[in-house]
Amino acid sequence: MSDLPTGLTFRLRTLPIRSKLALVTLLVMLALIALPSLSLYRDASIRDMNQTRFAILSLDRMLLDLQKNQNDFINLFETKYLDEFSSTFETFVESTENLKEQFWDLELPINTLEQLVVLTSDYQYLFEVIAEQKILIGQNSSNGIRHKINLDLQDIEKILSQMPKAGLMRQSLQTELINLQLPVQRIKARQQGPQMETFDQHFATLAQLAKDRIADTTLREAFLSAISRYRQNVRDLNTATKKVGLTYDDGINGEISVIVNAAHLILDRLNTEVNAAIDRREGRMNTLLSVMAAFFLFAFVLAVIMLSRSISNPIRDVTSIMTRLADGDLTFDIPDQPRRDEIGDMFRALRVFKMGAIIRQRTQIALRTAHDELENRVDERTRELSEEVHERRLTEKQLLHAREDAESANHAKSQFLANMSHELRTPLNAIIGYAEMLQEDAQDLGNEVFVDDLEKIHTAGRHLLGIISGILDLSKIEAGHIDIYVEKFAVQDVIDTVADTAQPLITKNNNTLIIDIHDNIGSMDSDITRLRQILLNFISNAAKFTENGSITLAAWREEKDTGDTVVFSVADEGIGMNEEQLQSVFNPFTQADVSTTRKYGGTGLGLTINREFARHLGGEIKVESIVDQGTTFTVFLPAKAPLQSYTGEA
Amino acid sequence: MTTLLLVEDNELNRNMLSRRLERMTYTVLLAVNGEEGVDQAHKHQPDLILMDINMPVMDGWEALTLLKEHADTKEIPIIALTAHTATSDRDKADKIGFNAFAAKPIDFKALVETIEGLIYERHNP
Repeated sequence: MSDLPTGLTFRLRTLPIRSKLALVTLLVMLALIALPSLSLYRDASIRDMNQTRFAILSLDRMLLDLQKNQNDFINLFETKYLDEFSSTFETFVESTENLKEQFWDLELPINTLEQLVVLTSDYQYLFEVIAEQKILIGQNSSNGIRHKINLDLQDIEKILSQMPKAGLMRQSLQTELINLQLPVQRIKARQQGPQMETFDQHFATLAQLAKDRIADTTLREAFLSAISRYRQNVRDLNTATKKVGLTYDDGINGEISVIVNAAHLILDRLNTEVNAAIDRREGRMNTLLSVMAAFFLFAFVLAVIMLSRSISNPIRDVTSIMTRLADGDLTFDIPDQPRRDEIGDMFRALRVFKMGAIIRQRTQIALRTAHDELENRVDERTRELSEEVHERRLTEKQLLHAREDAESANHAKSQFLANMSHELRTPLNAIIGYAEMLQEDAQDLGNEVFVDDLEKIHTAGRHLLGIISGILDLSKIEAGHIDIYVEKFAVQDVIDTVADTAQPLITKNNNTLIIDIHDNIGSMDSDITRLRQILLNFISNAAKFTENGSITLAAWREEKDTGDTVVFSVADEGIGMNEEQLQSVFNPFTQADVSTTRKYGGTGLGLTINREFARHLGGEIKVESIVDQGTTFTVFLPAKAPLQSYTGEA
Repeated sequence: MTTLLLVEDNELNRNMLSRRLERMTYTVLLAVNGEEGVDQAHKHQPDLILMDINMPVMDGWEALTLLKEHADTKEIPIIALTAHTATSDRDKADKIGFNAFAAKPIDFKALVETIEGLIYERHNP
C-alpha cells in the first residue's frame, strides 16, 4: 500500500466502512469464482489430455489390429484382410493426424509423433511389399508361384507317364521326384532349415538319374527342362517365402515386427510423455490454483487486517474515549479525524457527546453543590430541630417537674391551710362556745356588764372564724379544690333564708332591706350553699358601707335560647367607689383604701370569693358604682349550673 | 332522762359542749375517740350520739360504720360534728348514714333542736 498514491490511500482509508466491507466481499466473491473456474479449467484440460492418452492407446490397439490383419492376410490370404488393413491403416493415419492436432493444441512435443508417422508409412510400405510377395506366392495351388509349381509337377508327371512303366527308371525317377517335393512342402509350410540345399541335392540326383537313365533324348530333355522350370519356380517360391520371412522375426515380417515394436515403443513413449504432460499440466494447474488461493487468502487476510485496523483501531480509540467519558474524565482532547466514514462520524459524535457531557457535568456539579448545600442545611436544621426538640423535652420535663412540684406544693399548702384552719377553729369553737355559755350564765345572773363584754368576745371570735373560713375557702378555690353540689331548689326559699340570716347585719347600721323578686323566678339547679354565701357576702358588704339607708335585693329570670339565667342584684346607698377602686374591687385582700379597713373592718376576701363561686356556677358578677351614691353588685347565674365546667383561674 | 354520748377528742370542746348539754338536763357520756365511742355506745346504749369526725385512733367515719353494722347500735341516731364545711363531707355523711350534720362552730340552739327532733322521731316512728 505504501507505493500507492497518497490520494488513493487516503481515499481507501477514508472510505465508509460499508464500502470497505463491500470491497472485501467483492474480493471473496472473486476468489469464490476464480478458484472453482480454474479448478474446472484444470479438470477439463486434464480430461482433454486423458482423451489424448486414450487416442494414443487406441493407436496402439489399431497397431495391433494392423498386425492382426497382416497376419490374417498372410495366413488366410483373403483380400478382405487387405482391405481391413487398408481401412485400419487409414483410420490409424487419420487418428495420428488428429493426435498431431491435439498435440499442437496441448503443446505436447510433436517429434515423437513424427517418428511414429514415419514408422507407420514404413509399415505401410513393407506391408505392401509383403502383400506383393504373398500374391506372388499365392495361397494354394490355384494361383501364384505355387500354381506354377503345381503345373510344373503336372508337366513332370506327364513326361514320366510317357516313359515305359516297366523298368526301374520310371520308379526311381518318381521316388526321387517325391524326395524332391519334400523340401518344397517344407518351404510351403515355411519350415526353417536348409530346404533349398536338400532340394538342390535331390534335384542333382534326379537330374543325374534322368541323364543316366532316360534313354529317349527328347523325353530326357523334356524331363530335364520340366524339372528345371520346377527348380526355378521352387527357387522363386523359396526366395519370396524367405523375403516375407519364415517367422515374424525375419524377412519383411521381421522388419515389420521391428517397426511395429518401434511404433509400440513410440506409443509407449507418447503415452509416458502425455502422462508426464498431464502430470506437469496438473501440477502446474495445482500450483496455479494454490498460488491463486494463497493470493486470495493473502489478499483477504490483508484486507481483513487493513479493514480491522481501519475499523477496530479507531473503534478502540473511540471505546477508550467513551470509557474515559463514561468515567467522567473530560480533560482530554478528542483528535479531529478528517475521515469521511462512520469512524469520522463517531469521532464527531463523540466530540458532541463530550461537549454535552461537559455541560451535563457542570450542571451535575452545580446540582450536587446545590444538593449538598441543601442536605447540609437540612442536616443543620435537623440538628437544630433535634436540639430544639431535646431542649423542649427538657423544658417540658422541667415544666412537668415544676408543675408536679407546684401541684404538690399547692396540695401541701391546701393541706396545711385545711389543717391550720381546723387547728385554729377548734380552740376558736371552744372560745365562742364558752363565751356563749358565760353570756347565758351572766344573763341568768343579771350581770349586764359581763353580758356586754362576753358579747364582744363572742363577736370577735365569730369574726376571726369568718376570716379563717374565708382564707380556707380562697385557698381551696386557688388549689382548684372547690366542690360544687348542684341540686334543685326554689329561688324564693334561698332569698328568704338569706334575708333572715342578714337581718341582724341590716339593722346594725339602721338600714332597711327591700326585697324585689319577679313572679317568674321559679327554681334553679345550682349550689344553694354557694349562692347563699354569695348573696350574704353582698348584703353584708352593702350593710357595712351604708348607714340609714336601704339595701335592695332583687332577683329576676332572663329567658334565653341557650338556657335561662337567674339574676340577683344587691344595691346599696353607701359611699360608692371611683373607677380606680372598681378596677381592683375583686382582688383579694383589697378594700377601697387602708382607712376603709380601719373604719369598716372586713377581710377583703368576700368579693374575690364571690366572683370565684359565681364562675364555678357558670355565671359572672358585674359591679356598678357612683361615689357617694351607692354600689350595685349583679350576679348572673345559669338556671342549670354546668357540672364543674370551671376549673378556676390559673 | 335522755342520755347522749359525746365523742370528741378536743378536751375544751368536749368540756364546753358537755356542760352546755348537761345544763339542758341531758345526761352526757363522754368518749375521746371513735374506738372508745363505739365501746361506750355498746355498753350504755345512749339515746343519741354526737360524733366528731376528725379524731385520733379511730375517726368518726370508721366508728359510724361500726355502729351502723351492729344490731344493738344501728338504731341509735348520730349527729356528725365537723369543722369541715366542704360539700363532699356533707355528701359522705348523708351517704354513710349520719342522721344529722352540725358544722363547727356549733349553733347550740339549732343543735338542741336537732337532738330533740331525732329523739322524738326515734320514739314516735
